[in-house]
Amino acid sequence: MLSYTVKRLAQTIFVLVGISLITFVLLQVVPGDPVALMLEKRADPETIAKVRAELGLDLPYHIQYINFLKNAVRLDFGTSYFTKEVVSDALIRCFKVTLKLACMSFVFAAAVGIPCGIFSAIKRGKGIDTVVMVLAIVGVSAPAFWVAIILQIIFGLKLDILPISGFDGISSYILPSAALGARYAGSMARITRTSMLEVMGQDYIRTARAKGSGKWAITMKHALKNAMIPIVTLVGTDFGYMLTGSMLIEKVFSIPGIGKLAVDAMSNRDLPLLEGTVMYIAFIFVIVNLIVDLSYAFLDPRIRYGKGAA
Amino acid sequence: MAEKILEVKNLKTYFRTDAGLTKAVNDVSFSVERGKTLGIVGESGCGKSITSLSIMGLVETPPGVIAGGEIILDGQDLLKKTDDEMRAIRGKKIAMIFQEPMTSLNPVFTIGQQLVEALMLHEKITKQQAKEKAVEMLKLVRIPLAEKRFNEYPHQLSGGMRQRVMIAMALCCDPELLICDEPTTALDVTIQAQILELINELKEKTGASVMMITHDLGVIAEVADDVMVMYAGKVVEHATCDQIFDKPMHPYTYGLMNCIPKLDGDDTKELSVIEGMVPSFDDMPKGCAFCPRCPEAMDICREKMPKLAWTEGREVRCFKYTEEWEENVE
Amino acid sequence: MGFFNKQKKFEQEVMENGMQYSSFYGDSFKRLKKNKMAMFCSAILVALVFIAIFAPLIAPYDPTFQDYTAVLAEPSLAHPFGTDEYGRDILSRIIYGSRVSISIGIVAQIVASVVGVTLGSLAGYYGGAVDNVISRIMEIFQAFPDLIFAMAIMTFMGKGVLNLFIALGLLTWVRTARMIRGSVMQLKEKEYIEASRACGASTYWIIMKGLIPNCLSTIIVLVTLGIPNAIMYEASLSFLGIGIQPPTPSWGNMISAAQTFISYRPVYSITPGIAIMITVIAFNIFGDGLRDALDPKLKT
Repeated sequence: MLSYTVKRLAQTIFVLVGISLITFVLLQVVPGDPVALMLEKRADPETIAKVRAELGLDLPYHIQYINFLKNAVRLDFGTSYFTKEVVSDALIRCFKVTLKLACMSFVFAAAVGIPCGIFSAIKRGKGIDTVVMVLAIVGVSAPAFWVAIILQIIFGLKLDILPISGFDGISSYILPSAALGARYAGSMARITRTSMLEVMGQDYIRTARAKGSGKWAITMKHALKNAMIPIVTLVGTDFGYMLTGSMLIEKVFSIPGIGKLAVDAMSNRDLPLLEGTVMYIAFIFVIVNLIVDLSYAFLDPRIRYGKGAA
Repeated sequence: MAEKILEVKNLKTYFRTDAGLTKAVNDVSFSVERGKTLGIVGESGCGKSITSLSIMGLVETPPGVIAGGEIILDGQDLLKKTDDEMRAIRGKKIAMIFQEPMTSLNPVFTIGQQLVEALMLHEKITKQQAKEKAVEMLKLVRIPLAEKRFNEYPHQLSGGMRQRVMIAMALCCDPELLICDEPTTALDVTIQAQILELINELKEKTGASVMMITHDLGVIAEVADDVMVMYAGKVVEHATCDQIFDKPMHPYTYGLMNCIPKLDGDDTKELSVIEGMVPSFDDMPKGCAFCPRCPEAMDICREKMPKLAWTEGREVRCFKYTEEWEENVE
Repeated sequence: MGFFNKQKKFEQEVMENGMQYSSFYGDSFKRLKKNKMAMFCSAILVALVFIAIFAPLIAPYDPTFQDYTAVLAEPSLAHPFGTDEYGRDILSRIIYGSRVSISIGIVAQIVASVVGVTLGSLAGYYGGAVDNVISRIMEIFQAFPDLIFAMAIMTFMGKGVLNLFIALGLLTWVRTARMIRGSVMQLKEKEYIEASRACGASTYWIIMKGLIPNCLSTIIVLVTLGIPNAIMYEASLSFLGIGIQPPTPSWGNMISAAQTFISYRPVYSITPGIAIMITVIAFNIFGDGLRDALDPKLKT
């Protein structure tokens, strides 16, 4: 377990460095002169050169990259060209909002998806299994932003019982969470069902039955505990996707989260903000995946305890 | 006359598949006496495992279905019991151990937890008492450092030790009948001998009866009192162990015996085999199922299925030992 | 009478009665045909491709024709799905939109597959340092959250269909590469590969003729199941304004435009989404059916 953890941590650092490199390289490819963009007005070449030197944009690339890394580690991405807000402040403010949204969506998805998956696995082949699986496929295939709009139309406009924008107050949390969570509820249901079915076909389930265990004990105790291991990992990565892919829902519901921040940065060519959001979001994603991988090793006694003496 | 623990009468277990109806167990009858070991031997696919699963009520229905017969335990027909009643019997009156010790134990629970569960399902004792009994059982099956092993996970034990744990789990509630489905096939030869010895010893100690299912005649020789030979879902010979080894009567049994290389045999001869393969269930020959592979087959064998008949103190299913045979030979 | 004669007779009978020895693909196709849902979806897909190809003949109006007398009109006989904010017929735009979505989905996925198969088989076959390098690259790409990555590329490199292909291709190649790498690593240990090497076959030959054909079913399934992913990404990017730009109709950018008018004409937002959903579901179900047919062992 320990060696696995160390290996994984080393890999994470490597990956983060790789991501920073890619981001940096992409930044250099931006068409147009970032300084000219920043100065808005048509400035003369001298001013441009001066600002350029100030920003350190005339240094050789590898030095620029090192500076970039140094600043990134301290979460210092400068100031937004557009809103003049310090980027790191904006990042933290918006991330809190997205975190709230992701957590609620996750709870919704898990509370709906996992029980449906278990139920489907138990009733395998019967009508209800097909119905649940069809719903799951629909959930996965319907674009999340479209589902969000449909929910807005039904609950916001026609029935007028839930707000369709903003993110303050309980009623405004419901629709966005449902929209973001619906798609993942579908995938969680499918994963749960597959995992349960695989486990239920294992020899140790037959042993449990031969011992005289009842159906409930076999499903909820013997099968579920084994099935949960892969389910938790996949579900954990889904949480990572919710955290980092929320921009569509945030756009539909005008939620000031980090996804919306990224989209704004892109539309406005706001380079410091752009750097900041891309690096930050990628960082979150990598950390979530790291935690998920480590929890897998922890949950499976075969990895946690390794091979004992025979 | 020894007391019969289990009586199986005309058991028929069929499976519905895309290809039709597979008669995996096709009219099988036998009984197991108290304190004795019945060996069931046959090739893969002959129905021996399904027979034991049918007794335990572990056949998957669909696609399986018990189409007929009776299984009498303690004077009651198991096939007429409800799910709840069968659950009380499984593990308590009849216990079973399986072929693959590597995968038969739940990897996410300690062996202690799994043993305690078996005990608490059937005995009215406290958890603490169950723990103590579990450790006792581990010692009984000769697992060293039983208290330490109690808290370990299955993957931390070797195959032989896992099978001992399975035996402990099966015997912890004092069953009357222990069914062993190829318990040593997946183990090393030296461990095999240990496990068989252990089973014999525990059988003496607890007075349980044993049904030993195997394809290995060596195992039969070690442990069985009575032997039942199965082929294609039917019993073809049923005799005592001595009788079988002295004089195998059914051509199939004879063929099986021949397949064992002998120490004193002529080592320039080729190993003898039984030609051909077990027929697949959807392609059964019309008459005797063994006929296509039988070196002594006659016309009548192709036409009709012989009945199980008493000859020379045992049951054989072969026309060779009936009057019709003489007529045909002419 | 020895037994071998009996066996020979059996074989003779088989040959005479012309028993069918079916091939792997023949068997798979038979299994696929039995799966009614998958066949139904394949029919839908064929219809979609047909609509995409023959859009000019099928669409009732020119998708760019603006009729100022019928702006944001309700669905009617003249305009079954209504019109948009420029008076353009929505049904026609949806039909033309299928061209965009389906072609982008297919091309992006093919590009990703070519890259993925190449890198995956190289990594799997050579192992060692080559595998190390390629695997690290795969890890880095996988570590990037998808949409952010695509958005970053589109922003940094500018909007345009080519960049969209690159972005989508870069997103999805890793999954293919991983699976091919795994398959190749398994297959290369098999005897027939050693035999080929012993006969002096070149690496190229071994990979192309020996390994890849055995991965073909995996590749087919990956491509089929990857296309709906690519379509979703394109729709999402277009929705955000970074994918296909108006006036070219894309289901995604239509929904985006519809957002402004959601209270006045909600049906405008609904119809393009239904198109996306039907396409994606059809691909997913067909892909699942294909996978079950090609490798029933994976079936649940």
